[in-house]
Amino acid sequence: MGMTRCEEFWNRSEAWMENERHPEDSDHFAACPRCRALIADLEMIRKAAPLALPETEPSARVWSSLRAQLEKEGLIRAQGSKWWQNLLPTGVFRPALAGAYLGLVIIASVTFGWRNHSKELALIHDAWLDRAQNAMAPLQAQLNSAEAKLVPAAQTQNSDVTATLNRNLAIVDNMISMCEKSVRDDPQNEITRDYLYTAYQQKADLLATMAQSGAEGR
Amino acid sequence: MMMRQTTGRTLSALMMGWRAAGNMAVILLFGAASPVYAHHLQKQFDVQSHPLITFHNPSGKVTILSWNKPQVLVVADHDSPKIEVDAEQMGNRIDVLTHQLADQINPDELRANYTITVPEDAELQIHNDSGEVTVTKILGDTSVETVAAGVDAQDMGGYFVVQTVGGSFECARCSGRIEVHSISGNLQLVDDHSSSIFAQTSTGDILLDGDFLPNGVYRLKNYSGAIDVKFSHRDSFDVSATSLYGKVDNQAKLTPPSHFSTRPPKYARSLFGSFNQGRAKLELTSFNGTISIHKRD
Repeated sequence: MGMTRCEEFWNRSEAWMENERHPEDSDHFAACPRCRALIADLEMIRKAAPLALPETEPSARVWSSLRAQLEKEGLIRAQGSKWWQNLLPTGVFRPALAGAYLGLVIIASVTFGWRNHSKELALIHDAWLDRAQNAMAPLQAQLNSAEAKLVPAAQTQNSDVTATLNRNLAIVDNMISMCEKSVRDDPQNEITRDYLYTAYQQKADLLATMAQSGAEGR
Repeated sequence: MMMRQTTGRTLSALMMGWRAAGNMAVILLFGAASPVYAHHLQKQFDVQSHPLITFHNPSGKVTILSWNKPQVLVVADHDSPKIEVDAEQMGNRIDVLTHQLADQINPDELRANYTITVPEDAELQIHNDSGEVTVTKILGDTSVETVAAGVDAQDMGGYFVVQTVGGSFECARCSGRIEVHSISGNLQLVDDHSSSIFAQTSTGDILLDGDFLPNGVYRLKNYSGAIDVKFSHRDSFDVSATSLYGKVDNQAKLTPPSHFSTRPPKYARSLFGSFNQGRAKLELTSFNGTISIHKRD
């Protein structure tokens, strides 16, 4: 027996939620109240989930153990294309049930996943930190070497320009130090990494200006 | 007699008064109003459309203006014999340069002041380390680099790129694309009508008080200074504002966004949303400064 249009729609609902929409599904979605209700429930869960779950995406292992536990307890069937589809006794999600399903997901995820999750967070943090430090170390070395050569030469010039350059070099060094601390504390944070690289860029530009100033005798 | 004496005194007093007034006028005209410099240069060049003017000066006040003639006029003054000012034409390019003639020179002796008048469609490349730079009504692409000099621009129409180390920047009534980078300079963008502004300073403050054009993109970023954005009730923009360790103070009534492009860390102060239809895009980022989005008075 072939799949019904609703079953086909459910099988592709994951893609639908990612805005990858088959033209036939769009027609079916417009015509079928059951499938519209399903998508409405999934939207509701998706909107609520970021508020309740930790910010880091749970790993595949967490989801697998959650699924295995739900299967073991008979709450879902082992086979089937999408585990949450099997939660539907009649193929229809009711909005009132969505909260209950969401609660179940959260409790199960916390119960079975948290221990692994905190270890994984530490591993992820270390991996990001390694990566950030690998990127930072050569830049720091090059900038320090350039600074050691250029700054003493620039110090011999007595001008507004030299004073401004030295004052701003101190500002950038302070900024680098604060940003490095932030990156070490939270290496996954894209904004702090961006600030750090901007500060390195500013220091490189400043040293180049100092070199040019020294060469031109200003 | 009395009368004559009185008249004589009066005439004498009047004559002395006129003489004093004349002397004052001479002083004002040739003394106080325009200081006399030991060295003066004035050169004029005929150019074609979109001429390029390059300018390199270590220290001094440079004023660049536009006119409707296809000519470039360079007027330069300086006191010290240890420097030389020069302007040369190479095809449709004019190079204006201050040379240092002596090895030992103090900062005051480096100073040369310029007034350069160019066609409106000229393209400019200006390098002036300290002093002041004033640029008015240039419609071609313009780049300005300074170390300590402040940059004051008005009515700029082309792509305008400014880089200072400690100099401040002010752009009023500018309509072209604006990109400004500084480390400690304050940046002010006032009454601009630009569709693209990127302003970045580390410890300086940033003020944006201009129009938000539909599809315009306005990105302001600093490290520790204040970012101050003014808006009116008619403006329409999407805003994302994040201060990692500082504050965000908002007076705009925002509609929450449907999607987050970047999720800031939990400890950051941030806000996202649309004001009216969200036609322009406003991105404000600070490390530990205060971001204010306030109604225009």
